[in-house]
Amino acid sequence: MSRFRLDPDRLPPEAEKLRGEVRSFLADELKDFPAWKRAYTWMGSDPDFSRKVGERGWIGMTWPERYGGGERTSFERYVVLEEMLAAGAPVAAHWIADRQSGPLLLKYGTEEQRHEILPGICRGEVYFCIGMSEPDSGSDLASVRTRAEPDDGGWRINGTKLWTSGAAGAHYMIALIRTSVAEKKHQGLSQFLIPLQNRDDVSIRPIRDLAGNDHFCEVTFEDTRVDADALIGEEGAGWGQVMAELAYERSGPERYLSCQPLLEGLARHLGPAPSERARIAIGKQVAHLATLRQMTLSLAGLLERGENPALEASVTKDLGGVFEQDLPGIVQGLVADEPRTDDDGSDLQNLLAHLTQNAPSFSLRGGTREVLRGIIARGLGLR
Amino acid sequence: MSDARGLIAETVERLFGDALTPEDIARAEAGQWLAPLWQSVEDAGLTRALLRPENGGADGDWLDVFEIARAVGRHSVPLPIVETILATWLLERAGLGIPEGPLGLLPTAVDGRVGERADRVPWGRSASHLVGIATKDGEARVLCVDAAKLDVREGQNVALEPRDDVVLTDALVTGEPPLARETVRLYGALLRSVQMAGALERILDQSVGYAGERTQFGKTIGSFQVIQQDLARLAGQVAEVSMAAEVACRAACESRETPSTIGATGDPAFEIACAKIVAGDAAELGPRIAHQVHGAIGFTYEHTLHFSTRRLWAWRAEFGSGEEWARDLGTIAQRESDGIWALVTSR
Repeated sequence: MSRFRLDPDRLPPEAEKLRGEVRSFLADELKDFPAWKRAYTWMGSDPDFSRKVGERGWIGMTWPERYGGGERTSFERYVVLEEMLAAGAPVAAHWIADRQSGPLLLKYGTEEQRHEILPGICRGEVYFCIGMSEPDSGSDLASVRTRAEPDDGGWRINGTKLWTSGAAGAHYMIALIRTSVAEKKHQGLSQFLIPLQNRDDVSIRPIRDLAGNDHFCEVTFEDTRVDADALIGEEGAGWGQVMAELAYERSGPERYLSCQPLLEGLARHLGPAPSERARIAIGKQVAHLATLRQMTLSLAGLLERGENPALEASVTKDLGGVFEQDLPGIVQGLVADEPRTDDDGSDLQNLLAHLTQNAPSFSLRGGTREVLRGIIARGLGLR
Repeated sequence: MSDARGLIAETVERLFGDALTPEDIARAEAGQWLAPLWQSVEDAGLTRALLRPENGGADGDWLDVFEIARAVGRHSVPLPIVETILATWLLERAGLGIPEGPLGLLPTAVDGRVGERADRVPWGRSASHLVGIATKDGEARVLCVDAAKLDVREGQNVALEPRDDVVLTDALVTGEPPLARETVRLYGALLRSVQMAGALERILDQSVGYAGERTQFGKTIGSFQVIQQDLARLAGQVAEVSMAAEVACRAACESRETPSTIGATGDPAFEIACAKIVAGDAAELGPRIAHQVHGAIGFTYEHTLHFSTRRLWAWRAEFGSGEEWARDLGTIAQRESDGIWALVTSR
């Protein structure tokens, strides 16, 4: 019988208590934050904002206190995340470190690395990017060709990572790199922690996207030398480590909330008495929104209990991606206003312009729709 | 899952999985009443799941009912089990006696006048009594009418389940205290959503099974990526509807006594609306994929796929379509001055 382990869960009172605190923080901090910037949600980067979030203790919330963490529950962290995303707060600078790089270092890093790096992440000062895709490796991630070779007690890295979000502002990359050529391509891969700043053997080139932004980058390693402890976890076990990490990357509320500022903008634009057609459209979005929220909450519960919900996360991210990708078209179907990126456009027009253009990325980033559905099909026993 | 829920889930799976054959369902669709199965259902106490022990009930809650209704949907059980569960619950709340036998539900509120017609009554012809909501002098009360004293005009839904028009003739009994006018529509929508979650599970299992057996171009069709992608989408529909339906049952468990309006604290209408909307959408995509995967054989009456897909198409329109619930929910959401997110997170 095909059933997923997605049982309804519930935020405990201590997590719910945090909601008001986060909302009033955001109301203050984002008082003059324009609508079009909210459209970037977790792709919008602002180190000042990240530092303030860090001051509140809202980065690395679940990590041990000895590394600067807050030793709070995944549910408390969940409330902070979903409130930040729903408000369209510019969380990008610290997002990846908080979501997956920090947890990875907690699991596989050396004690020295943890003490050196984690407190800075928690303060909102140290940022990470994830080096996975390459010019010839996208969905077929195991085909990566960037190589690391032993070099005088450390490693020497050569190759290129592509579509790396936030690399230009990041202090570190955690990269999936080939350390040996094995019979099976999933073997012989390892994860490396690579410091990115102030070095001339790494070049970072931002790539302009169709909407004119430069979130993602090409990162080239030319005889880049790292120390022995840059190898994270076990040599050759990188594939398994990455798959476990992807459960964090694919399970969060950012996988259905990318268009939330637009949905709120639409509701405001329509006013208290919209047409019946508009009310039906909004009612449908609310129903899916509320259900996707319950699904991600359930995933947070599974992660809190130490399980690896890779399959359930893929199901949720796939549904969430369809949901958030549909929204700009639904909004455009309800309003006569054209999307506009210029200053004279209304808030709704600005949100619509940015999210219409960014929507194609929702089913590409963090694993394409096709890859996710392949994982689900495997879960169904079809492959 | 509680022990009680687990036990119920086992019971219904055994009862419907073993004792109900496709031939039985076909006979029911031809108009036959499955008396032995109904007897087993009553003997297992399923129809009185929500009642207090003094009324012969199991003192269960809506999450127990979730297990029953999901199995009813999963196995296309052609009996008024969920209708009787809801009817007995209404009667107990109204302080009325609980009659024996299968009960029918009046899907919309009536005035309770003699000679008044009630349309599309699930299982009207088979029920010993019909239960619904009657509004009188501005107040809505539970109504129970002896089915022997009705004129029944037989009809059916697209799944060939009885949906009869009746004329109320006599002996109307109404109970206390007053309830919300929409109570039957609301809890009817809840039950249909759960049944739909079950039916979607079934068509996913059938489709995955078929894709693993059927060979074309020298390999099983399930090994083609295009089929895998479609079945993955179907699995997503199952996951979403199951979550929405279970969350709605949880909300019903925690509801205060008198249902009022969508969005009110302690009222499950928000969650039930979400479930019926999500299930309604899945009732479009789900059967499409299942039939596409099955090809021509799934379009025959001989194959059992249609028992589930026709139910999905019928149930999505009953007790309020997804569009009707979306209009209600959208109206509430628009009135929420703090925005949609504030509404969703207040639940």
